[in-house]
Amino acid sequence: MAEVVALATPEELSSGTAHTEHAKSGGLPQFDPTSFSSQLVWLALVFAFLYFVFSRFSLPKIGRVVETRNDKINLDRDTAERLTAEAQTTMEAYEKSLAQARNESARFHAESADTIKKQTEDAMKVFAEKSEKQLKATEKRLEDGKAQVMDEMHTIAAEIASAAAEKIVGISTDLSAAKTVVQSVNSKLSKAA
Amino acid sequence: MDEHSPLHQFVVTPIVPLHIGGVDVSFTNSSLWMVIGAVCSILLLTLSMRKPQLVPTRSQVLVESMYSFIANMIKENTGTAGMQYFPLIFTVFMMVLMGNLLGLVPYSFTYTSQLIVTVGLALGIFSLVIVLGIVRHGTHFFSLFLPPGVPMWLWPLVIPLEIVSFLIRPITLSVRLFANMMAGHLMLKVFAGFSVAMISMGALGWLGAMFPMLFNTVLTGFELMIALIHAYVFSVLCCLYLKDTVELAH
Repeated sequence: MAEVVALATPEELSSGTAHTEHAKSGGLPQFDPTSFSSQLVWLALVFAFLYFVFSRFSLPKIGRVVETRNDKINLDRDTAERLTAEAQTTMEAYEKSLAQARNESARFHAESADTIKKQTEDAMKVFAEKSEKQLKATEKRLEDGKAQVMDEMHTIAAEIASAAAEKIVGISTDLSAAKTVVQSVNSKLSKAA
Repeated sequence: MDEHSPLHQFVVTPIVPLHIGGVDVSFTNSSLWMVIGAVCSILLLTLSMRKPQLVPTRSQVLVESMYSFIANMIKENTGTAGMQYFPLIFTVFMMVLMGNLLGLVPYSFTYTSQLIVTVGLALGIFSLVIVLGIVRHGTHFFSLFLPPGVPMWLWPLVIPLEIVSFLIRPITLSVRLFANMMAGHLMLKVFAGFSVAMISMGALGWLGAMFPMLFNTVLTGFELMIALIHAYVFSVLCCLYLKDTVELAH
């Protein structure tokens, strides 16, 4: 109270006209009790009216709006979560089928590679056998030819030798004996070589 | 009272003199600004929520953040059970906020700078706390005056202290608001008075008058902050006092 009076003092000094009024009201207009009753009554009235309007209309409405929004947000979030989960499941299924397909193709690839390899090997084997056989036959024919030729050569040599002996020395020789001599000479020559 | 006195802004003048049963209930400038405040707050709350949008408009954001601000304040200070006082606290907040803010409009009247108004509000809350406290807790309500864990030999000291601190609540609550509002408005008016006085001194005075005016500009911003803070402080304290009616700490 002392402070309040002190606040009022310079004002009181500056305006002499207000002095009497101040003295009556105790310094500040706020302490003039004549206005108390009307201010209290109007405060109560306005407050009661405001309380009535707020509690009945304004606040429930705002509350509903806020509530609706929160519900909507929660619902949307739930939906989003559900969709995310669904997407996750789909993704997993896709990855699974992808892996399966990959395995399948790898297996198929390996299988066909094996088949082709086997087929190739078989074909190679058949070809190798066939060519060996042919080679052998050819070799045999060659050998036979060679032997025949050699035999013929020996015969010719024996004939020539016997003819020569008959002409030079005048003896007739047995062809088969001459052939034997040629053969032994030939084998001696080939040994020496 | 002198028109130019810084205190003149606090004088209550009847607009429509009314007497009912010997009691003065005149419609005064104070009443007028209470009604204006009420109309403004109802209009704000009604118009901005007329077509509520899922994605709120600007005014809707303002109103909804006020709503959730008060709701959170009650939940934090009074607990979830305190939500029963939500309309009450909201009304107190709007009443004080409108009084403080409208008071900053030039030539207006600041009803929150009237001690009787703040006392009325504070005593209203205070008596509500006592009545509801006794109705709900019976005589157990008076255990409020004995904090738990105090040794018995301290009781004669602690109990009177607690009683005094309880009874002083409406006084501190009302005087805090009243004094802050009055001091701020007094200061604004005093500096405005300086400017006016300087202008009367001629050309140089016009220049000099700029300084109190600039100071007043800054002060008005400051007062705006004070207006918001004290509306908040008043309602927070109401929440804290009402907490005793929903749950006793011991």
